[in-house]
Amino acid sequence: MRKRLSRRTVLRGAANAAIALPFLDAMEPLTRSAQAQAVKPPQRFVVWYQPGGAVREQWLPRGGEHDFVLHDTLTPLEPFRDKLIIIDGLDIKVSAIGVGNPHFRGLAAFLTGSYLAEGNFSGEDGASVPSTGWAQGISMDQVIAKQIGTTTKLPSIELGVRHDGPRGAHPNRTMSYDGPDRPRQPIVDPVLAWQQLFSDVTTDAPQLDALRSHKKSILDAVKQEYSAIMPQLSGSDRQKLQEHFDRIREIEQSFDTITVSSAACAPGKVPGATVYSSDNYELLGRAMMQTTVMALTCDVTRVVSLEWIDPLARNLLPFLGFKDNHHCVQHNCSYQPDKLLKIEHWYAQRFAEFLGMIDKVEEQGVPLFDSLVVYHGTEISIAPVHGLTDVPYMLAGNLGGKFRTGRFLQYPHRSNIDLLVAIQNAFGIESNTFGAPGYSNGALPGLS
Amino acid sequence: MALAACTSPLSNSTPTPAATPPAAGGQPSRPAPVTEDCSDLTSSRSPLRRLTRFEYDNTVRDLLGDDTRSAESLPPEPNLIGFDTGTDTLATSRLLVGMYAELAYDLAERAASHMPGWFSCDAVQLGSAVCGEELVRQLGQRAYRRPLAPDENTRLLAVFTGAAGANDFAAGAHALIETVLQAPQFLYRLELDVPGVALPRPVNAWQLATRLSYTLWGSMPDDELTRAAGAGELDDPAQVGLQAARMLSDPKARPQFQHFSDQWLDLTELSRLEKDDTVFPTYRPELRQLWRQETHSLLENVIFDQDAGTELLLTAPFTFVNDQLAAFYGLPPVVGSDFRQVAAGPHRSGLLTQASILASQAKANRSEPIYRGVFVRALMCQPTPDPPNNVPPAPEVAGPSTGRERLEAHRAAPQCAACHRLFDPIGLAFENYDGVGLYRDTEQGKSIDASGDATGTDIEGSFTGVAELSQKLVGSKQFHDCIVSKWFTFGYGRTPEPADVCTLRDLGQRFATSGYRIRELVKQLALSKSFRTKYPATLPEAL
Repeated sequence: MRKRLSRRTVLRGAANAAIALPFLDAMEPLTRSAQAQAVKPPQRFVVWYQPGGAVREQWLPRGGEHDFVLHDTLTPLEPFRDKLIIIDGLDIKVSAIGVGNPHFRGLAAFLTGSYLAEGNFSGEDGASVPSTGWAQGISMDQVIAKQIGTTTKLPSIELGVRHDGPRGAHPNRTMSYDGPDRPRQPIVDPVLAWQQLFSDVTTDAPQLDALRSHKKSILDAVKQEYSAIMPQLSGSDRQKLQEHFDRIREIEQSFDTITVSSAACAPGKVPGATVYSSDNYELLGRAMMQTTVMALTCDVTRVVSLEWIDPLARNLLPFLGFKDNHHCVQHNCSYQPDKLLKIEHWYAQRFAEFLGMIDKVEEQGVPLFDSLVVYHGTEISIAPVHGLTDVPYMLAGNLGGKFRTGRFLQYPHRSNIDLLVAIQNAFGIESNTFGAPGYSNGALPGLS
Repeated sequence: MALAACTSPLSNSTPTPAATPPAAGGQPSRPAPVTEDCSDLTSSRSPLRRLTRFEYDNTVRDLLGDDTRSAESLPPEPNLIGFDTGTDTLATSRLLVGMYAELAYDLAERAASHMPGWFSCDAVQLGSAVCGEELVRQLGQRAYRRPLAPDENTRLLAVFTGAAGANDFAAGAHALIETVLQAPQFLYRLELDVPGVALPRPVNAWQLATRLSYTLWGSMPDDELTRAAGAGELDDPAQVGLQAARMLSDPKARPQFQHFSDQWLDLTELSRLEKDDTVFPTYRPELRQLWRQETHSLLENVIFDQDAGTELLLTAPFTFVNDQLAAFYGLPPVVGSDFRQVAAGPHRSGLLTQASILASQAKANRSEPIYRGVFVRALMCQPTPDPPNNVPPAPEVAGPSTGRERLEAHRAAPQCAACHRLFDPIGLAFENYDGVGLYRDTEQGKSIDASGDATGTDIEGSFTGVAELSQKLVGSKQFHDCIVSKWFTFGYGRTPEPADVCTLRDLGQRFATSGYRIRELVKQLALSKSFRTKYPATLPEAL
């Protein structure tokens, strides 16, 4: 879809003065542009979480750094081997502190490099003794969103794939955080995700203008109600209303962002009503993968995280030919590595499918793959014993040359946070630390 | 809570003391020391309340006549306390705020063209400005649940006029409604500071009316309650009692009690339950809604139609089915898809023998004694600890086996038995009911042994089968105290804290005196002193 730039879009000069315009051919609506001035596509960060780790002997590539051999679990990724960095040996060291069952700890550490504080969440079976609270740090997707997401409509979006529909926030389902005790809930409804991402870019410019103008005037009036009421409250009540007020302001500010999309931006129509079931898990996942790639293509956001179910993984995968749920074959119904292989292989197929979608997108001759990096990981290594050492990770995409892909690397006894630090450095964030202090030795070397 | 015996040598979930960080902000305020002097109720909490999705939908139904229940699309509330009314996790994401705005736009659009019945002003005759003023006053008072302050009236009138211009009443109404639905006075149940008046203080009449209506109905006050508040009648506890009784007899109380019960009985996931129809050939997904309706019907009949006590709920010799459900249970056939009362049949007596509960507390392809045992403990407010970290795979049981045989390893191994003896023996009493709640005498060709006990609870002795267990629950103080605690939790939006012990004890006594009638319990909850008192939102740090 081609988006014509109307007079209003040419640098409105609002607070967001530094508007990136990577797609210059949209500025020449009447001529096929052979723009001489090549503008680099923006960087993007994508997070892929899948539950349950991997059966090590089925996952671990054989061979060395370049001549590695993918087998069993990872065979579907063979066509993309030159786009990957497969990483072995990282330990979730920060799991030594904090509370929670190891699945939750691992999920917290996956993106925040932090621990779970005490709190009142129980394990997923509601009768358990309450023990667990939230992670105690900001997650890397939000760190990067602050760095690269200030000019897009959404600084980031968190997506999830669930067979059982939207669930309330819980440390078992949360990997993205604005900060300590500030969880970000993933959107698991493809319809809602579409509306959040694409309703603006599929709306006529004048209509969008009118809508935004109307919404702004209403939000102004609403803010006045907040401003009048807040002084009549104190303490935490007032704080909570202040937080609400701040969110309204953020939304108003987002009305000033300008999305300039390439010809490849074609989100189509809003999908039909979502049907949640274990049978539909793959379809739901496909929808979210497509949404992710289209969101990047349309440049409505540059940071996307995708959470497949959650660490407790109670979804059935009936299309794999057995009736136990994932968690069950990890250990609840006794450890069944043959079924685990099927599940992990199926997830590898999905990842290959996802990489295939990315592979199709080009921006003015530059493959989307070259402008992004996908951080692929999980919360645990060996599920039946809740192992948190040698957790399997992968990177896909080279982020404009920041990562040297096509390799299998081993970093025995390094912290998973070291990988997150290397990622943040690649996005131009210079700090050599992240997450809970004392559980990282700085960036993993040798990735670039 | 006797969990000392349930420590496992395998447990390594406790962090080493030196490395344990301090508890962070996610934890609710530390409770004050327990007071035994029940004349002094100063140290309780009134955290900020925001409308839940359920309450929002009920409220816009009553405010605007809109019954599309569109707030269901909002992000679900975190389930911290077992109920959606939790206050301590009141987070406000940009996604949520954006969705409130979308909701408000859509609701305003529908309402502007179908003004609710309570507003009759002929804008064509009288002019947009006159009707606009009237709409601001009436809608403002209803939406904010109290008369508007002069400055609020001024601002809202400006919103109306700004959009209406000279004479576009509908546009003005649209903007006004859209604004009001996003205002804090609507979304939050605000209890504003009173200059010069320290906490705790009695809530004012409008605030009491709001607390009453949201607790008993999950919605805004109606005209009668509003009238009583305005007339000063709610200063008189006897009048409050009359209003509470009226409200509990009103149809609006029924969905609220169902909403409570779905969460109390862990039925909220029922519509998403998945069962293996190769193992259960009579199972169809449509049954889930019928199971739910059966349970709702029993609850309504006992609590509202008969205003009877928990004994009837637990032991009822009757139930409610339609044609499909009667066929599923193997009951004498009934004609028609509407639900009607029937004799429960052999092997069925009361709530715990209904398929809604039995199927929810089971696996996709079989019954699960562990879930059922943990569930009964939860009904008695007896928490059950998580499994330890490094649970080795359970040993395979050779050949086809019953549930009891499968769980034998838990009994044999001391490190498993420590915890499993608390819930396995309860759940094994349910084994005559399979994974979809159908009765069976045998499993894998072997006779079922449904004997059990409830070690660690106040249920003494052993029992065989669910009917006997249910009889024991009738006499269990823990079961009944737990109901009190759950209604407190649901109504107050937080679990009871030490400072609430007096309130709970008093309610427990009244519950008992009433014959354990749940409707009476809720009425007494609404009449208790702490219900009409505003405390600080957070407690001062414990000394």
